[in-house]
Amino acid sequence: MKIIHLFKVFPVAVFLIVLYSCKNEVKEEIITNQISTEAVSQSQKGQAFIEDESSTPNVLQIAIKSPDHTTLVAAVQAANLENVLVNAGPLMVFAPTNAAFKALPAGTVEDLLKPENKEKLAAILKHHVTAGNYDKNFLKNLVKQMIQMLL
Amino acid sequence: MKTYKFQLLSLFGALILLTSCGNNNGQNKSSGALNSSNAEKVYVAPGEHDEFYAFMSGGYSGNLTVYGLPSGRMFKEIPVFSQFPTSGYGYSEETKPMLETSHGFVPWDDSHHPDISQTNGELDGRWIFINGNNTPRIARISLTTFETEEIIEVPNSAGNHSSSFVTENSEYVVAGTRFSVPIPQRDMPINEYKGNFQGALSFISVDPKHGHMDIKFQIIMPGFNYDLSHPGRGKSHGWFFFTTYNTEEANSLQEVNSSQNDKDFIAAINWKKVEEYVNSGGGKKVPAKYAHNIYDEATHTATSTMKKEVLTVNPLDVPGAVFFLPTPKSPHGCDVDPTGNYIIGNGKLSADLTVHSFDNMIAAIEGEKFDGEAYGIPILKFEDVLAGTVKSGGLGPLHTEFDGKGNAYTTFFISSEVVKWKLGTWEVIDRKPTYYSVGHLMIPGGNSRKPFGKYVVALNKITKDRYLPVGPEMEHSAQIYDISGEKMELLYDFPTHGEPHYAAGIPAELLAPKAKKIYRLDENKHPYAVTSPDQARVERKGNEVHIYMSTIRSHFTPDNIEGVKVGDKVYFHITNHEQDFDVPHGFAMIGQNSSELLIMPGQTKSSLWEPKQVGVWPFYCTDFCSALHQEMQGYIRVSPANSNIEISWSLGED
Repeated sequence: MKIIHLFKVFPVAVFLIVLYSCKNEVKEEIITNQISTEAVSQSQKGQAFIEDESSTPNVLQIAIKSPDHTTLVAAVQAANLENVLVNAGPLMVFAPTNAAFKALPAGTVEDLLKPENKEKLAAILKHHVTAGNYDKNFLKNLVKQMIQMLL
Repeated sequence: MKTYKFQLLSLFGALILLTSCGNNNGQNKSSGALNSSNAEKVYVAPGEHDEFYAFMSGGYSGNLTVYGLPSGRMFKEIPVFSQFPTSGYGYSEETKPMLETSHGFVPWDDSHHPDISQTNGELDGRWIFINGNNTPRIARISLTTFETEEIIEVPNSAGNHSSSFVTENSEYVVAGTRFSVPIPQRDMPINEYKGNFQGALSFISVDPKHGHMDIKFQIIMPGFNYDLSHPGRGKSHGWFFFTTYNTEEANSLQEVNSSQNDKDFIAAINWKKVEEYVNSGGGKKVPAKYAHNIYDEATHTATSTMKKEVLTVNPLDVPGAVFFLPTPKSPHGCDVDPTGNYIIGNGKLSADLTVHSFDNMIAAIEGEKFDGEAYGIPILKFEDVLAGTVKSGGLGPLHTEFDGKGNAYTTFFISSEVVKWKLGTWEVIDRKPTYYSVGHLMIPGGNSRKPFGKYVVALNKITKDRYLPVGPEMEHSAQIYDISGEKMELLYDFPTHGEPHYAAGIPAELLAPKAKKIYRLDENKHPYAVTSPDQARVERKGNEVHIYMSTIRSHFTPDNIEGVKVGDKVYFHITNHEQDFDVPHGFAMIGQNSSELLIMPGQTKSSLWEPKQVGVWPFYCTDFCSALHQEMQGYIRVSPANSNIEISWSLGED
């Protein structure tokens, strides 16, 4: 799982899986990048779609360029969350990699990508975003504190 | 009784509604509020863009406002001649020099006639120029940043009104004086005006690369009032035309004394001839004092230079360069049609429009058919230059624009209407009322070789009952008409800010793609910029304290500063480290005798604070930049003047 900070890209922080992975059993599954074309065409408007060569890439543009986040991007597009992700924030996105999606039970992702489950998908994805401006050290300390509490 | 009346009225209204619904099925011809197609024509759906930009002069706001057409939505107010606390223009250390003049700092003006730069007689969308009427100045505004980049003062001028119109290739932006004055200025009796006062017509060259302006020459004309002007185009390229009034040279009660002559003049200036004369060493350099202020985008800073002399030209020294065309009834607007052949002088006390022909004028000049002279300048015979008269039936014609399809549109102030007429036949095709007392009108590109004749906007002087009342002072109103058909159709009313005089419009596709989104931080050459937060610091130099501060969502670096003392001059130099479109940060300091700063991504702005009271004083970001905007604040500890607390600063330390 990768953390994509709104301003900077952070390396993998494995321990976060403890905090953010789903409760569901982990199984391998191949995920196709099927997206409803209707959803895409509806979602092609707004601040996420401004042609802008000059600004620093935002979190969505970074994810789109990342080969490890194709499933996440497909899910974000299916849920029409592009404009939310590029909001002024500050937002921190805990971005599941393709591998993390593959670890979900068979059929989970395909099911969520269906148009009728758009709201459910959006709700799940929004749980991977937190408002705030936290740096790596702050999160490390937080995890340490939480582990100590559990022990 | 009242209720009864109301019910009856509603019933009646409902009936009308029903009948008109039925009627509409069969025919397209309907008018008024029930015509839904008018609503569709101006409706720009949420998230959609307008077809045209319209730049409206701010008049006594001193600024320039940007609207969309056909929606009438306002996008921006560009500060030009006036201090603008919204952004800190004219308050920040970087922009104060923009408002310097030979009279010192002048934080206001009366902006009148915007004109977009041209190449080959067509709008090229590089810059827009506008004149300051009161303390004569011409400004150049970038159409990529939509910010004022340059202001040049115009000496020997007063009431800078027949300005700021550009020639066909933006060789010159031209500024003519409305009020004649003693040249050079001197102490003399006012009633010796006649024969002693003079009027300067200034040709300001525009650097084709950077747009930088420089007064190339001033033609010193007789002491008339030079009211409006427009360049020749096409075949008349190389000429410039100015309406005059007060050829009586009255210096008092002009509303009576300037209306004595049946005809005043349009002054025709062959500027190419004058340019040749000047280029070969002609003209006389005379002492003058005028400010030239340039804003540098790389340093985000303006500098002001005081110029010491100007080149003047006596029109009698350049034979064949200046002629007078008699034009009835104190002409106001002076407009040239897209072909460059017709010069329209709108006699504001007349019902008719006078149209002169460039071809006729050239023939009369070549035939030396003169009807006397004024101060040595040849007067052409009215009948020889006249192309036609538009018998409009309106009252008080002011300004004319063109649709590029052979039609002209003239405003009538007194009869509150726009009249459409045909060039060449002079027949009136249509007339529509305006609400009320229209001044200028604007068709995008309507005074160029290539007008975009889809809409005309009427800029009205009087609003009265058009909107909900807001006390004695009201915004002015504009009306947009569809002119794509034979008859004009009033589509929409919208309020405008300040007092728009003229306006300039341009298709959105020519500007929108090149509008700047951010300033690049790595190109920031401001001497007080900090390009990374670790450069942020506070330096004391005597009683000056310079705070090199950076901002990014959602904090200032540094945000705790100590060691400042009462009596210090504290300069905040704030660099916005955001590199995202539309993420400015604001800065405001309690008790600061100035405005806020609004700093665009990658930009540096500075402001001065002179703390007068001991204490711990907060500052904060004024722009709701993020969900943690409320956290974006800091403190400055101000100690007594005799304190020995050293300067220190921090961020995120306990």
